[in-house]
Amino acid sequence: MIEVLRWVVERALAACDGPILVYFLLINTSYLVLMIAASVDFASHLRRRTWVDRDAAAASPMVPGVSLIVPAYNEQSGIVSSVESLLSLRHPRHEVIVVDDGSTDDTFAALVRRFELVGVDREIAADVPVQADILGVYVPDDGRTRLTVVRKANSGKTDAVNTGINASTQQLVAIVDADSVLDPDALIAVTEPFVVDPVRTVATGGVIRAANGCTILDGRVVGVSAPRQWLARIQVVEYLRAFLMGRSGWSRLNGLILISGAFGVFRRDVLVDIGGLDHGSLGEDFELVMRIHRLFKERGEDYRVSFVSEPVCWTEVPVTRAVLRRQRMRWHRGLWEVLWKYRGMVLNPRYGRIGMVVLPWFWLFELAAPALELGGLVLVLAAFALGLLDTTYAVLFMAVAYGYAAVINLSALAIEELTFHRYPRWKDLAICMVASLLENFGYRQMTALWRCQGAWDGIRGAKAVWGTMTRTGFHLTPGRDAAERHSATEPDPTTGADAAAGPDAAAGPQAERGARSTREAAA
Amino acid sequence: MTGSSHILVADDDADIRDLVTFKLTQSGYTVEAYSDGASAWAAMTERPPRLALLDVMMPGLSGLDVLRKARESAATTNVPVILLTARSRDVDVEDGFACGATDYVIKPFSPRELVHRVAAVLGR
Amino acid sequence: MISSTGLLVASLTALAAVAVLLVALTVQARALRRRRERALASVQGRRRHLVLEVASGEDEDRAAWRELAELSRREWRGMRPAVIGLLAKVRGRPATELGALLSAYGELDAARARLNSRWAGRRARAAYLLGLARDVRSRDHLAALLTDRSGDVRFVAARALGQLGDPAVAPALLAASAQLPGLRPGHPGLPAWVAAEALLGIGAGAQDAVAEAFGSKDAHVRAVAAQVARFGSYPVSLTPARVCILFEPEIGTKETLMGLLGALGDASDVPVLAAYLHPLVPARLRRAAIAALGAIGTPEAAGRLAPLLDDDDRSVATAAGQALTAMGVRGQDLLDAAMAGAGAARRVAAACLHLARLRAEGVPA
Repeated sequence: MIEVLRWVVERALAACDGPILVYFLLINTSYLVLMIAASVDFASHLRRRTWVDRDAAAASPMVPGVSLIVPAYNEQSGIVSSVESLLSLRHPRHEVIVVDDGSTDDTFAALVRRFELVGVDREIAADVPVQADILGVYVPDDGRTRLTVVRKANSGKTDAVNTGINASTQQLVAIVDADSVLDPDALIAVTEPFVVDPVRTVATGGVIRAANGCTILDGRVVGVSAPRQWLARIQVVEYLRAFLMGRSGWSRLNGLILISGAFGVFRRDVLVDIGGLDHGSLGEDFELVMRIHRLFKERGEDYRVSFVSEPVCWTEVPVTRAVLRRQRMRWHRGLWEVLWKYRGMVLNPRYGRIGMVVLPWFWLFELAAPALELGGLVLVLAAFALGLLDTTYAVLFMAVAYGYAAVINLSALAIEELTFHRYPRWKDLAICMVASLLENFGYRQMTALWRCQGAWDGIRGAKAVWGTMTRTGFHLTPGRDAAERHSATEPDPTTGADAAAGPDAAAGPQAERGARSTREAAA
Repeated sequence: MTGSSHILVADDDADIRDLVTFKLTQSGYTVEAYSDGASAWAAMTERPPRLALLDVMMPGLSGLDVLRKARESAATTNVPVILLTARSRDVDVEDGFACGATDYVIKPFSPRELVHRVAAVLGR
Repeated sequence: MISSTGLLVASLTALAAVAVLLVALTVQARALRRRRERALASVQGRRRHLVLEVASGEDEDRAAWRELAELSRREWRGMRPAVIGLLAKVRGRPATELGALLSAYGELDAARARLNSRWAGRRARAAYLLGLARDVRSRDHLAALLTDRSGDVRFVAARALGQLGDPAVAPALLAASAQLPGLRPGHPGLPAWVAAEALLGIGAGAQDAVAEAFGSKDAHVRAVAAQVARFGSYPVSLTPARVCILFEPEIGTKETLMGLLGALGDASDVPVLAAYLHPLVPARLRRAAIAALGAIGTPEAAGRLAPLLDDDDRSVATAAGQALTAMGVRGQDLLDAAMAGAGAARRVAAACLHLARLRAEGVPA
């Protein structure tokens, strides 16, 4: 029996040996290419900062108005400070629309108290189809504050966002998570592409960074420092590499297909044209952008989806393995679902660079990566266990493979230091460097496993299950990891929803949204 | 309430803050400067100033927010407020006055003109 | 096996070397930046009060100015950012003085020369400085840069010309916002808002050029002209705007023109605007027409808006209601009449009146 196994593994090893290393080389080199593209982008961005006067843009009446949509479910601890900070963003003409998705806690009551909300009989347009009914529309009674709160029966985040789109009155729509903390200039910056190129720009995404460990005052990040907890620290490096560098790089190469649901801006008329967010999908922010790409390519119209690397949207990252696991499973499952849905675009010249380059890359290096990585790892370990490889070789092999990945991380850190350098303390720099190495020893393998599980669930069409990240509220724990006191609970299974869908949560670099929680955060 | 003798300045831009503080000090006023709305508001409630110069666009509490709060509170409702801002279009000026601003200075500004306006407001 | 141990060892060594290099690079970059910041802070700290004196116009005897004009090369390099920073924030005599300081160090001469540089970044930075310093000597050169091959340079040149404020360049600015030959279709030479802001910066002197631009064949130029006239409230533009709106194919420009008519027009514009209330007109234009009619505020305008409270498109109905609430007694009467009726019109009227009441109550005494 062992002999058969040995034979099998030996053959497999011989066959895969080259390809595995080649694959590792390819994936990490493509990250390098993306980083170079990103660096070029950052360099020109920083150079332009000298003479691009944000103040002028912030004051100009010609800047198109923005409606900020904030879908909220059971956000009582942070919603008020979040809305306050969103209202005070620098922008000549923006409004905030909070869509209360049937919260069972004090979310609405807190808003009523703080903003002195009063019911108005405002008809919400029906431009985008929604499922649940609107229970009421409320505005502050000073008649002046540009806030609208729409209450509706619970039907998931997607529906909440679509309701928000219907309620929005401005030309641009920004979708923001209720727990996101935006830099004051973030809105002006992320709408800049629309001002510079109003005809072609249809969507922009902003960069997300981990808020854990940062000092947050009055809904603003006033002090940036690395998180206390290693899981979060590793995620900081991961976000730098994959989101900041990765997305900027793709944006520079005109191949951005993913805008995070935690911080994206879209043209309202485009959203209405494509019917808003799609209910059946787990990765709805990804799905949205893909639909935009398909629509415009099919129309043959020139369009642009871009990424703005600064300023920033800050959000909490998971600090427990359980929550992280569910998040990654969900992301990868969402990735699978959307890629599968748009498989017709792959290697189809009609869809230009997106179809010919970007989508194949995502299939090979994003979707398949965890499976191939784990497969390779298992093979090497099996070979070693069966005595086919000597220790030295096995160790060297893994060292090179993961070493390259660590070097990519260090490159990302170097670029960050040369460009935005958001982490002022030396200690934090050291932590990030250590995290760059640590990521490859355990974290990467762990998330690979979860991602495979997520994709497998998606392929099988299993019912989606999530957890909730209970909010403690940034204002309660200044300077400490707001996520330290988090707990995750398994909610009631969703009712009446499609097996492959369930209540919605966006795939993307954002903290997990609550679905139904039975426990509130300890205040 | 003791007679207030100082002018409160709030602007997140250090250059403007220093400039205005310097100019007003040279012109004989006592100045207290703050870099954000929240601390400015806290100071205003503790020690209502003779006059407040508020930058409209500040992170956190904006100048308009502080102005609204000031108008709603008995201790500060009569403090004259001059708003400092890059926004110069009609509708924004209206907004400022509707919230209870006494005057409006547009950036880039002339320091001499600023002092004249301060004197004029205080002289009323 | 394809990959021999030797190859792996070599790769590993290379990776280790690169890793060490990256760490060193990162640490070095940070250390250098910190040192530079400290040096800058110390230099600036010592002289800051001098710069503040000049920038606040307190430097009557020019003593501070003279002291600042006699710094060493190194010290000037440290002060330079502070001076430029303040220059962007003041106007009047202090701005002139700060500009003169830059000139004293030959900065402006150097910048003028750099306008011819091969590197777009240098040209742009130079143009930025000259605009800040309000260097009228560079006017023509900057105007020439409006057709530079780099978009960044065109952008900065336009901004700089707006700061210079010379009406003579207005036609050049308008021409530069057109679809320039050599650029891809749909990409004007200048983004509309940049050209518009620059022209607004020039002020009333640009009126005539703007009025003429309404007749341009290029859609971008007309769009800019419309925006400038709208936000600058140029009465001279009213007549050409009235003509332009009849032929203008671009919806965005039409919208702006309606805004212009609303702000500056009168009863004679009501029929034209009312024509856009027709149900087959795109909602965006209908709403713009409604807003314009509301701004004009004559009884006839109000009369045209009242029937829209019943419109099938609820956003149009709401817009009509809001316009009527802003029209004083006249609008009020019509809304009350709608309240007395039934159906959708009543609902919209009630909602708008409610909002108006909130707004009125919200204003502090």
